[in-house]
Amino acid sequence: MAVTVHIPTPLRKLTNNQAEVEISDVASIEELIDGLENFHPGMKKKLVEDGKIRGYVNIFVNDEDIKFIKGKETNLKDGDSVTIVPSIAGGI
Amino acid sequence: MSSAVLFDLDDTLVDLQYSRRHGLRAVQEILPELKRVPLEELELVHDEELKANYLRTLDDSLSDEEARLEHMRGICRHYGLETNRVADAADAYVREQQSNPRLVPGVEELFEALRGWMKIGVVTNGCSQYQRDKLEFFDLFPLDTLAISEEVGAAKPDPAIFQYALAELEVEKATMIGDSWEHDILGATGSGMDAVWLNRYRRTCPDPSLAVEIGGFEPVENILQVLKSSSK
Repeated sequence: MAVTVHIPTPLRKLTNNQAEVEISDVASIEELIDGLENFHPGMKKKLVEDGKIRGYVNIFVNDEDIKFIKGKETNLKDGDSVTIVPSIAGGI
Repeated sequence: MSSAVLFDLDDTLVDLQYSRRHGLRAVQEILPELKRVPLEELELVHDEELKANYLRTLDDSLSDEEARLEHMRGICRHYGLETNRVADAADAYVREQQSNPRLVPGVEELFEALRGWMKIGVVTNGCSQYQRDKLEFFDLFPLDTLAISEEVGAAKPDPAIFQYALAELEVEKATMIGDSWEHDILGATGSGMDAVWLNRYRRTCPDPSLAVEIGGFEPVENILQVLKSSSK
């Protein structure tokens, strides 16, 4: 079992154009980001700046925004679905 | 030959229209009454509402959250639609719009072809942080100059923002590429620059003598040829 991560189109060049990747043995969003970086170098820089998740990066665990859970410390369990959504398209 | 090319950002490099249309299609699913409205028309109404509410957020008379709902209420009002699904439609719009970011097709290849041959800059109107976020997210850095209206203190078509970019580039001549006739083409030509109008949606060109017209960035070879020709 693993966590499934849905990758937005502009970041898929880091995942060999895969729209979804699976990362195993991660217990939190922080560990997931490190796991993504191990398999897909360059990903962490896109998601994190100065140790914090970038302002324009939204991460959802099973459709729930981690900002309203525990941020980077949000716990993960096998089978969770994580979606990365950049809020950079403009507008409101 | 120009030694520099300047790009507009929104709807020239970053394909905001693609994202917006995804958002509006999601709204039509929540509010089927709007399915009879052509997407192009819905987009115009959306843009007007967006602009009006954005201005109200600038003077703090509307919070971002209120603006998001008011934007959708305005669209419903325009079409005489009374509904209790405004919040659902607003949520759907934002979710789908934000889930579908992309660059205008050909931009990555064009940047790759231009780097090392010409200096590259971006001249854009908008909020500094939002515009920098987009450039970072889409890997458009490094740039030889970046002129953002909030940072420069002048917005296109004011010649001051173009002069700022040219001074940063230390070139005498540059070509501006953008989708807005008023902001990009009139602004650039008014500052003595060459201009290329990105017209992806077959609008009527107001004055072909002012700018070379292109329909997109593909194939990149054609755009490189346009840049060579436009600056002779």
